[in-house]
Amino acid sequence: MALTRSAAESVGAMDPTAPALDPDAGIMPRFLDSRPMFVNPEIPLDALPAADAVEWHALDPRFVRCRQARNVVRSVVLFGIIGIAHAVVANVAKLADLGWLFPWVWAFAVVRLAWAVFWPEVDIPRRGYAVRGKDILYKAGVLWRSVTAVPYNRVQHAETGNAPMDRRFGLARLTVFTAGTTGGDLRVEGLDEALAEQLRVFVVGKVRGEDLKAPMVDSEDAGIGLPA
Amino acid sequence: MEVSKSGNGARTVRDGRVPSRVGKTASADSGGCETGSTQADGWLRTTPLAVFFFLGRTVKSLVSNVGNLAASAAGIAILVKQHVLLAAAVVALGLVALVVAAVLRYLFFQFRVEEHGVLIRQGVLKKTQLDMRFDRIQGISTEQSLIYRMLGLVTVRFTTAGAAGDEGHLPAVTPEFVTRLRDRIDAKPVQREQSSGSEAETLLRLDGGDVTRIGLTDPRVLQFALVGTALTPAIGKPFMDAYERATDVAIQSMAVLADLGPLLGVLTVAALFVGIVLVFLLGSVVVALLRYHDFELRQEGSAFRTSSGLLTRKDVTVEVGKVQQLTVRQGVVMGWMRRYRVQALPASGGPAAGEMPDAAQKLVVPIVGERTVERLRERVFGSEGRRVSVLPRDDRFAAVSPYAMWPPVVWLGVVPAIGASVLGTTLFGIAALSCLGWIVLVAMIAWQRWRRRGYLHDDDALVCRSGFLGFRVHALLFRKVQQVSVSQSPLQRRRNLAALHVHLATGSVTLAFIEHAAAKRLRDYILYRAASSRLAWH
Repeated sequence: MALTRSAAESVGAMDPTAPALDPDAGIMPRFLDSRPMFVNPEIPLDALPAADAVEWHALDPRFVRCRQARNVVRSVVLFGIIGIAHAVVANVAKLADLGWLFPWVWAFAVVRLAWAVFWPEVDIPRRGYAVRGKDILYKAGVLWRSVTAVPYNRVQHAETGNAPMDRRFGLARLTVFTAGTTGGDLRVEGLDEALAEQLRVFVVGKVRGEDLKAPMVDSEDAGIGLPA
Repeated sequence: MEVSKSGNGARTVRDGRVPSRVGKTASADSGGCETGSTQADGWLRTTPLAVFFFLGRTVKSLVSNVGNLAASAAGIAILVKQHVLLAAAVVALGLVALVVAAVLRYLFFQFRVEEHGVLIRQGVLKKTQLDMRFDRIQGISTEQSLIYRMLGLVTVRFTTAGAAGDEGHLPAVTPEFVTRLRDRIDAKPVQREQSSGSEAETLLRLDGGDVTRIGLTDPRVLQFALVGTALTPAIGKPFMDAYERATDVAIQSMAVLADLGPLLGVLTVAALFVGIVLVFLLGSVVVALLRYHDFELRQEGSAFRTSSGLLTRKDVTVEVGKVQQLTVRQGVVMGWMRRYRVQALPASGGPAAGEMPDAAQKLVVPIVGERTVERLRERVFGSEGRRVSVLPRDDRFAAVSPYAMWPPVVWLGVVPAIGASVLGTTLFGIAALSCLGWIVLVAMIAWQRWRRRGYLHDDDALVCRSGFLGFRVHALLFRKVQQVSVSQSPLQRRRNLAALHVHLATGSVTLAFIEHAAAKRLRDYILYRAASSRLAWH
């Protein structure tokens, strides 16, 4: 298989003069920047800082209650709509045929409410994020799990925002945008408002830090003002 | 004044009024626009022939809206019932209105070339100003319709980075102006990757045979032919009736043919089918001829440039360094001819809002042989990705886990088939168990698709292969990746497998059902390459 073969080769071809990988903060070795013309030192894949080894930060514990509250509010609205519809059907003779539908609809609405209260307890503790030296990570999912990583030097801009219910709980979400629209962007919901703002400033600062060294990062879109 | 950042390509300033004095500092360099009339403050208009362009766009936007079209058709139908002359008058008035709208749009369309970029100001009621910086412009493509070609004018389309942005157009300008603009864009002080040569070089030129092959290999022909076959009885009915009448005459005149009657009927149907396919093939060849006649692929410094077209000449320029993804496709018929279709997707948005999607932004090489495909890969990736191949039949492709066949077989095969069988046996009896045959069909399709899936990578590039009857190969450079994620479904978790999603500025590539450890290693390596790369990704 190409992958295992490549990994084995790269271990063999490891340049002994290469600096050791810094295990903390994911700082990458710099020798690739100034590599000589015909030497192409390879990095043993096992030696790379693994995204799994990081310490995941859980979301704000208030977020579970926040989500449940939002879902309950939505369910109450749904109940109201169903109630009105039920009242209309019960009182209009022409619609009497539809009466059989309502036990099912109510049952569905109740199950949905139960699910909406129960699911955040399961789902949200399994979400988490991690901020590393070169990238930001987000994991989510109970049955279908995923870990997404965005390197800072690919970030176009970062944004914080919060919905009405988030504001009541003092929470906010952080969205990190990269180029291209497909697949969505990295979106961390349920952060403390102040923390989300700090994270945004940190990410933008990281982008700017990269920008000084490498002019190809699009500085204007990173929200830093005009490039030279 | 509201400054809205649309996507990340261009900045649009929207205002209720005309920003009257924006051009005060003006004309540091007007870009040598002798094409249009110069205004006092440095703003230019294109030549009056741009009216055709605006007319075309107005009509296009009207026609593309089904609601509009239906409403006007219904209105005209009602008027025709009232009085024909009335309807004609309304139609004429509508046409005049269209022309007036186009002229107005032309009159309100102004542009200016400045030190840092191009400003386009347009809009009759809703004024917009588009500010495109040279360092944001990913490439300029030109298009020359038949009218413009006779008059020696071109329409310029700017491609800017980022999603759904306002894309700029400059209709009806002279080719010299375009050349100057192109030089300007190339001259911007942005660090570029080394290109293999600075002088222009023709890489590929297609002759009539190739263009015919493009037409013949168009997968749409096969699809239309299948639909045509399905419709043959319906279409064939009047023909058959006519045939029967004709044969009646023939039978009376020539007794010999009487014996061949039934055979002739079969032959007619067969001929009809062949005729339909031939018509589609012919149409497809004509379309290919219109689009790819005199196709030429050139490398000019650090850019690829294609030009093609019989009536409307289209010219697409794509910077090598901006290419994010290389796609190689091979349909069934192309497979027989051992030919491929190659696309290079540069960092850029999709079609601009409110516009038909078309292939203006991406570089398309409609038909090439194996050797040229590899040469193109070398040109696009430069010194990187030397050890991969983008040819689908390369034997170094590693297969993905056969568990990839499970989800489609279970969810699209077993579950519906069992459901249909259970339902069917209660309703129609035991014969409905034949629904289970569906599982075999789905399993065969899943197996075929699994066989096509594979991946290959070296230190710089990743190549993914997929397909059902043909092949689709996506190749990308690790350092151009925007974000990576590794995901696991319950099945994948049980089997220690995972899917790797690699997001690029042009879309994403998914590598599903590879070993979890391998996916994580690849992800970490991609992150390392992306974070440590000192080269521009766009």
